[in-house]
Amino acid sequence: MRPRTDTSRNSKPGSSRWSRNPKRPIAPIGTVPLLWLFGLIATLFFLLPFLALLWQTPWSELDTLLRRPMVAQALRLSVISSFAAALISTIFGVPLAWLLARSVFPGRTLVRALVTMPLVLPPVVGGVALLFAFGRRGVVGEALYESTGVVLPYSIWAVILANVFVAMPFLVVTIEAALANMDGRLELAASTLGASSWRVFWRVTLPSIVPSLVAGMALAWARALGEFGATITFAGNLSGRTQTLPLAVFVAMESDRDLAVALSLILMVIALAVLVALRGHWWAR
Amino acid sequence: MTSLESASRPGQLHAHVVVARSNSFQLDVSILAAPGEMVAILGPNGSGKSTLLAALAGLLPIDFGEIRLGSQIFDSPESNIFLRSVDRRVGVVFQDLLLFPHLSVLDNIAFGLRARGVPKAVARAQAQRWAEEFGVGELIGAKATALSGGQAQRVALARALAVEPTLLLLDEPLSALDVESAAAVLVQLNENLISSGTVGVLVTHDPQEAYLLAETMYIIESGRITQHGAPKDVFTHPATAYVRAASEKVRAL
Amino acid sequence: MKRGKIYILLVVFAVLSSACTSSSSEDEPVLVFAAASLTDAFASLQEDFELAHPEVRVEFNFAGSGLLREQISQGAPADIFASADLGNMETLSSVGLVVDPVQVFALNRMALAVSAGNPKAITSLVDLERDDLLVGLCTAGVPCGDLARRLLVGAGISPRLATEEPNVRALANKIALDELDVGLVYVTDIVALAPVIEGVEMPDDDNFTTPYPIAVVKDAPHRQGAETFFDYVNSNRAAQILEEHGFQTPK
Repeated sequence: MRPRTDTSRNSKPGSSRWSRNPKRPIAPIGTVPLLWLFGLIATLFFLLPFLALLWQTPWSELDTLLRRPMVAQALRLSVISSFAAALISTIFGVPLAWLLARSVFPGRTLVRALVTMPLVLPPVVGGVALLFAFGRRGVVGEALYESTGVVLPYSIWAVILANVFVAMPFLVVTIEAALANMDGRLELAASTLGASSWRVFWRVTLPSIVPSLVAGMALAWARALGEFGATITFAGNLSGRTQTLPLAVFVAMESDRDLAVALSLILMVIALAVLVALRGHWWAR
Repeated sequence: MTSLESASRPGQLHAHVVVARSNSFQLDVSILAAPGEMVAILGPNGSGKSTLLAALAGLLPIDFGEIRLGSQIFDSPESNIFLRSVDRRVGVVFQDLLLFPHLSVLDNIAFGLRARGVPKAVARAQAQRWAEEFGVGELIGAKATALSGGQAQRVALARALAVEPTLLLLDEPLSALDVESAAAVLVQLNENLISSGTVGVLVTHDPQEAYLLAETMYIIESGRITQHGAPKDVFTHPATAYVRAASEKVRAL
Repeated sequence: MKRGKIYILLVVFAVLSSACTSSSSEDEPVLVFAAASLTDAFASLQEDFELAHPEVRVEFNFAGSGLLREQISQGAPADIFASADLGNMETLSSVGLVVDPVQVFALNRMALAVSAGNPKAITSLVDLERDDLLVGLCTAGVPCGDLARRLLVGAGISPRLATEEPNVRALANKIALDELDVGLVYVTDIVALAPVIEGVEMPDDDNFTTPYPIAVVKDAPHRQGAETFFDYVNSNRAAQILEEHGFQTPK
């Protein structure tokens, strides 16, 4: 008979301390039927569309469909641009989050509102705004074009920029919350030990928020992967150069439904793969 | 400059701290401590001792007065001088210890050395030495979060002393230790202070701790010093009701 | 407690019954699914139609013809479908999702569009092969895109593309903004967006007209109103307005 308190099994969070038989853990406060019901409905709501998609998949033609060159190109562009966007969002988003969380400067509220706007605005609006700023006739873009002949739209850089625009806010919001919630006294302790402000940030602050950092990056990456409106408006749509998977799906919907489904399947698989790989590993504190 | 200046010996702590915390509370105290000496600040909660500690550590600027260690001015509002804590060679052991959870014990102790530019290998070797001196030598590989209260407190002490500070500040340093360990740590600490000429300031609400550790004690109540002197003298001749009550908690008397 | 429950039941019943009755009433608007290239023309038609038939209101859903076709075949509650090509309409009529008769009510032609002032001095289709230009087309699969490609193949031209826009208005807007130098859009788009956009005439043998069919959707929720609108769009009165927008009409 196992002893009642078997501490070796209690190292994982969420494991029940009160079970007599470790094979059948009983939640200490009991289940809440109402929560189970609503949670189940929510699960079904997300599960059904994906199941419907799988139901509509032309499994027999899938192989032929996926061999089309535009598929590999869309996949390549999506992967490159989403990861690049996540990286750039981190490099610039973490400092911004740090400023918002730790510094007091005039206009801080405005900056925070601006950074959060892409979360609220329709992505197409973001795309139009990017075009007006960085397009060939844009506020900044025109100067760039006149002086160097460089046109940002219709290139992969435009795709990445559009992705960063919609994705970075997710990272900034996550990191700012993490910074606000961490024990700031650790930073004070480091300061008394003689650490410069950079060292405090690099060796104490950042390591303290690693789980949130990973979560923020994952969120930004996921948003970038699915980005459509800003991309098609600002970067355009050309297979091999700017047509990411979401764009390819939209275009395929016009004339080739099977292709659209096949492309959607790829997007789902990538998203699931990365999100499942990250879950539990890094997200749990 | 002033006669006070010429009277202070090298390394002596000379602190006149005036801080207005809120409308009702004002801290106005004067502390003197010689190199190698451990001074205790004893007072009830809310008396201003944490504010005093923060001011000495450089985490809080004072409103009036001056904090000077030897010839180095830490804080002087009149002369518009304020040395941030990163620029003071001060070692702090916080009440909550504040060990870095993502670093091992060794790297925690070595942190201050690395911050001052000591190469990694050298810093780790020195940290090792400090760890052994405080009896946590076998734990250097452990994560800071995996320690017992007493072990963590020794690590925090080692971390603060590893940078060889000129001023050591302690906030309730023995609260997590049992009596025997406390005695051992105490001996260690005093040896270190005397040999390095470090000034030690200990803030506590525990009269026993003050009695055990300090040569000189200041009683702080509602932001003012109400009595000071050698702990034995203060406790045997209490000047206020608080001190009288405190003296009853000291076992040695 | 029991009385409270009865009141709740009464309220629910009242709400449900009112919802049921209103959905079959004819004062709900007729829903027209129309190709994006019909946006401006149909806006004008709507004004005129509601003057002539104040008892019927019309609402529009403008998008690429293929997407609209897909939505209708998935059961979208459209009353009318107006496509920019015959193909999408035929797909629906072959499975009986639209009601006979299917009428061609307008014809469009392609035009070379450039931004105001024609800064890059574009004169013909051949310019689309220049490598100093940003050229746009509609995506293949959209009527505007398919038509453009037929034109280009017929003329033996392979353009260097910067982008393929999902609908013709998106393309026209980018040209108007001078974010693209040139593209193939409809004459109606030139008319609608002038003067920020200009058309370059193309010789007739390079160009041809494309028909726009319209039909009432089977099981339209507002059958009567839909038929009224259908007849109106095919009338002489509507033809006049359509021609003002740059369409040609079968009359």
